[in-house]
Amino acid sequence: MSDGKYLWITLGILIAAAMILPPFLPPFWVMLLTQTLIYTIAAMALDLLIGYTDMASLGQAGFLAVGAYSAAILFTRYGFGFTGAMIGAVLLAIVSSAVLGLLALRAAGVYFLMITLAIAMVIWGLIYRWVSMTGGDNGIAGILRPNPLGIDMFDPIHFFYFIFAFFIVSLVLMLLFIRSPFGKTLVGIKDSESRMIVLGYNVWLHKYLVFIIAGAFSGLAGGLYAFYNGFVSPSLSDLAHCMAIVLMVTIGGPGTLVGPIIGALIIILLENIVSIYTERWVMVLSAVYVITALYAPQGILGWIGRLMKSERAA
Amino acid sequence: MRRDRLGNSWRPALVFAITLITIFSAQSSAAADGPIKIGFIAPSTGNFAQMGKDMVAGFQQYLEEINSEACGRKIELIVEDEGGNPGIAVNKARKLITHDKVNILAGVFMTSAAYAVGPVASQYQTPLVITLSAGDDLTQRKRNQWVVRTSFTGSEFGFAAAEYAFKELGWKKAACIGMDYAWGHECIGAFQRKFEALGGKVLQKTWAPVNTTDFGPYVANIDRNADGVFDVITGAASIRFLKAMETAGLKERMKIITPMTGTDSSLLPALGDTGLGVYSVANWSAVLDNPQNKEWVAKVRKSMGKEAPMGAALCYDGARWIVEAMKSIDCKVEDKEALLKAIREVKLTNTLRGELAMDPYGHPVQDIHIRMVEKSPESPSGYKNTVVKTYPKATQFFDYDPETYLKTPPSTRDYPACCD
Amino acid sequence: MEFWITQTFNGLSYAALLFLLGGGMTLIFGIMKIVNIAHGSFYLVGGYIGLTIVLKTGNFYLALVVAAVVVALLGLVMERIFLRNLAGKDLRQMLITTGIALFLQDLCLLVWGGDPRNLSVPKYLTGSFELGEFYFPKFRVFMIGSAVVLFLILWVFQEKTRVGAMVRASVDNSEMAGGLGIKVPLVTMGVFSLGALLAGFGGVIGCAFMGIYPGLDFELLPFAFVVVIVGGMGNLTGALLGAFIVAMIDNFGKALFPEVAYFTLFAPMAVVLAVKPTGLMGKSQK
Repeated sequence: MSDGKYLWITLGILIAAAMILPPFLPPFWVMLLTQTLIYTIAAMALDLLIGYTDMASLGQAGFLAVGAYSAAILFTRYGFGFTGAMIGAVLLAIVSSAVLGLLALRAAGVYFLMITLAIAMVIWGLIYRWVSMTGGDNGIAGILRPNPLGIDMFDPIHFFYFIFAFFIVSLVLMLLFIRSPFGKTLVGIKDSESRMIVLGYNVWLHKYLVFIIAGAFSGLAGGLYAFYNGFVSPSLSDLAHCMAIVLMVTIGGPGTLVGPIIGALIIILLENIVSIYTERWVMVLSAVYVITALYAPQGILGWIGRLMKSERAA
Repeated sequence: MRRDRLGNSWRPALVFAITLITIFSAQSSAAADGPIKIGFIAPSTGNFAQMGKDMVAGFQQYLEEINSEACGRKIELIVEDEGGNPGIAVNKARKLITHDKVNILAGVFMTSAAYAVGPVASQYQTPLVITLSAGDDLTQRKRNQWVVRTSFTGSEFGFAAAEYAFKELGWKKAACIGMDYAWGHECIGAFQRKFEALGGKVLQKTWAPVNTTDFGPYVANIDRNADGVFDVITGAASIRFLKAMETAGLKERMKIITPMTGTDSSLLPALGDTGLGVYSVANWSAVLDNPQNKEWVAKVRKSMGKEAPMGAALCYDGARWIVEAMKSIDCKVEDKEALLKAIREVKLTNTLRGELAMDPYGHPVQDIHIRMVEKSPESPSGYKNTVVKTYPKATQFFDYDPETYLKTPPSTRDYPACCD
Repeated sequence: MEFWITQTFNGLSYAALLFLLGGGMTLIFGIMKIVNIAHGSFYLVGGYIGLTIVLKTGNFYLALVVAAVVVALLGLVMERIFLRNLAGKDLRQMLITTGIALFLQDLCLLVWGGDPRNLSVPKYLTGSFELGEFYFPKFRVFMIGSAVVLFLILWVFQEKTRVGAMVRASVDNSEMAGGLGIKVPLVTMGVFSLGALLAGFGGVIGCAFMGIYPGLDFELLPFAFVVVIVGGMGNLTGALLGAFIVAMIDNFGKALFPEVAYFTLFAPMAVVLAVKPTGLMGKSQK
C-alpha cells in the first residue's frame, strides 16, 4: 500500500526536477531533455504493449515516423499550422495502426515480433521511395516551430515547457487508461490469455484497441519530434530506431510507466553524450543491449527492485 | 499483484531520480571564448565514410600547415560525424552550435545533409561554409546570407557535361541514370536542360535508390539507341554500376560521363581497368598542372600513402578560404556580419584549383574540367584522371543568365520533364 | 525479348544471393524461433574475411571456405554463450542479437575501415558468356550455380540423412525429440552455425558481386526478412521459393517501374502477411 505511494512520490520528484532545472541548464542539455520527453511518450506507448499486454511490438518507430512525416508534409506542403499538423499526425498514425494492426494481429508470439518489425520496414520503404511526397532520402526540412500566444518557441527553454505540457497530458491519459477497467483487462490478458477468453472477454478486440492507442501516442511523439527537430528523414523508421525504442522500455523497466521515462533518458544521453567522448560509442550501446537482455530484462527498476527485495528478505 | 510490481519500484526509482538530478544540476554553462572554433561535419561512418575521412584529413592538413592559429588566436577544430543520413547531420550541427559554441560550421558531404543543415545555420545565425557538398538552391533559389559554398554543385557539372558531350563527343541522344536524391536530380536536370538547348535529346532518366546494390536491372533497361550515358552514381555504388555496364557489354558501345564523385582517386583502385575511358566533370584533378597542386599531391602521396582524393583537396582549399577570410578581418570572427562579408569577398590566388573567388550568390567562380581515366605508372593506384578539356572561370550558371535562370523551377526528380 | 531474358537471368542471380541470406535466417528461425538481427552482420563479417583472404592469398575458393567456417564458428560461440539460456524469451533474444549486431558492425568498421571494398574474383569468372546478342555474366552464373548446389546439399541432408531427420524432429517438437534421445541442444547449436555459415558464404559472394561497406548489414536485413516471411519461417524450400519470388518481383519492378523499387520488394511480403502469415510454405501456428 505505502509502496505504491512512494512510487508516485518518485515520479513527482522527477517531474518537479524537470520543471525546475531547465532555466539553470545549458541550452544543449535543455534540448536533450526535450528530446527525451518526446521519446518518453513513444516509450510509454510501447510499454502499454510490452509491459501491460505482453505484445512485444517492434514496429512502433514506424508509427512515430508516420506521425512525424504527416506533420512535416502537412506543414511544409499544405500550409497547415502546428495544430492542424499535429491533429493530422495523430489521425494518420491511428489510421495506419488500425490498418496494419489487422495484419499484425494475425500472428502471435515471435511471429508477431517479426511481423511488427516487418511493418516498420514497409513504412520505411514507403517513406524512402515515395519521393514526390516525402522527399525520400533527402528528408523534409524547414519545419518551423509554432508561436502560441506570441511566445517564441525557438528558445529551447520555452519549447521545453511546451513539450512538457504534452508529456504530462500523455502521462495522465495513460495512467487513467491503465487504471480503467479496460486497462485492468489488459493485465489479465498478459497473465493468461486463455483465462480471459474463457471468462468471456473479447481478447482480440482489446489487443487491437491497445495497438491503435499505442500507435496514436507514437504518432503524437512523431509529430512533436518533427517540430522539435525541424527535419525528418526515413531513418526514423529503420531497424536501429525500432530497437532503440524497445531498449528504452526494457532498460527502464517494462510495466511501470516510470521505467520508460528513465529508459528514454538513459538511451538519449548515451547516444548524445557518450559519442562526445569516444568514437566507439556504438560498442557501448551494444554492451547495454546485451547486458540488459542477459541480466536485467525487467530493466533497471526491476533489477534494483530485486536487490532491494532480497535485502529486505535477508 | 500489479501493485507489488509497481510498489517494489519506488526505492530504485528514487535512487535514480536523485542521481539524475545530481548529474544535471552539476552542469555548468559552456566555457568562455578565446580560441576560434570551427565545427566540421563529415561522415565517418556509413556508405561515405572514406570520403568523410578524406575531407577531415584535408581540412586538418591546412590548419596544421598554419600551426592551427591565425592573428595570434588558436584555431580549434571540432569534428562531428555526419553519419549516413541528414538527420544525424542536423543533430550534430545543432550540438556544435549550442554545446560547443562554434564560430563557423564547415564541411558537409551529402547534398541532402547540406539542405537540412542550411536552415539550422540560419536559425542559429552561424555561418555555414560548405566545403564539399552540392545542392543548387543553397546558393540559388533558397540562398540566405548565412550559407556559402566553396566546392561545386550539380548545375555547373551538368551544364559542362552536356556541353562537352554534345560539342566534343558528338552525342545526339543521351541516356541518364542517377541516384534518387538531390545530387542526382540536380546534375541530370542541368544536363538535360543544356543538352536539349544545344539540340540534343535525352532519351530516358532513370532513378535508382541511393543504396542500390544490384544495378543489373537498371543497366539492362538503358536505351541502346543512346550515344552515351550520363550517370550520377556516387561512391561505392559507382564501382558497382560501372562494373555492371562492363559485364553487360555496354561500356564499349557507349561512352560514360559522370561527376567527379564517380571516378574520384579514392575509387580508382577498386575500379581497376573498368574505369578506363570513363569521363568525369570536375573542379579539380590530382594531375592539375599548377605548382600548389603538384606540391600538395606529392605531399599527400607520402602522408596518406595513396593518391590525393577529392574530399581532401576540396576541404584543404575550403580551410584556406575560411582562414584567409578571417585574416582579412583581423580574425574578429565574433562579428558575424563582417565574417560573412569577408568570406564572400576574399580573393584567393594560390589554391589547389588556381584562382578562386565567390560569385554574388555564394558559390565559387572556378575552372570546370572534363577528365578521363587513364593508366598512370606514377600514381599509387595505377590510374589517373587526365584533364581533356577545361572551361575556365565557369560559374554555377555556366552560360545562362543568372536572373533568368533563377526564375525557372529547380531541377527535381520530375523537372525538366522527360522524355516520351 | 532481350529484355525479358536478361531480366529473368538477373532475377535468378539476385534470387541466389537472397537465398543465401534468407536461407540461413529461416533455418535459425525454424530451430530456435528467434529473429536473428545479427544475421546481416554474419554476412558482413563473412564478406570482410573473404576479402582479406583474397588479398593475402589470391585464392577465391579458400576465401569462401575460410569465411564460411569462421562465421559458422562465430555463430556457434554466439549461440552457446549468449542465446542458449534464453530459449523462448523472444524479446530478450532480439535485444541480444541486436547488441551483437551493433558490436560486430563497429568491430568491422574498426578493423577494415570505412572504405567501400571489392573482392576480385578469379579471371575466369569475370566477363560474360555471349549467346547471340545476350550477355550472361559469368559470375552471376556462378552465383546461381552455388546457390542451387548448396540448396541441394542442404535438402538432401535435411530429407535423406539421419542427422537431418534429427533436425526435423527437433524443429517439430523439441520435447519429444529430447525424449527420444536426440541431443537437442547440440542440434540447435549445429543448425545455428549452419545458418551463420550460409550467411558468411553469401557475404563472400556478395562482396565479389556488389562490394562491401559499413552499414550494409542493416541495409540487407529487410531483404532477408522479406524472404523469410514470404517463404515461410523455418522452411528451407520456402526460402528458395521466397527468394525467387521476391527477386523476380523486385527485379522486374525495378526495371519496369523504377520509382517503386522498395515497394515492389515489400508488397509480396504484405500480401503474404495478409493471406497466410506464416509464409507460403510455413506451418500454421499452433
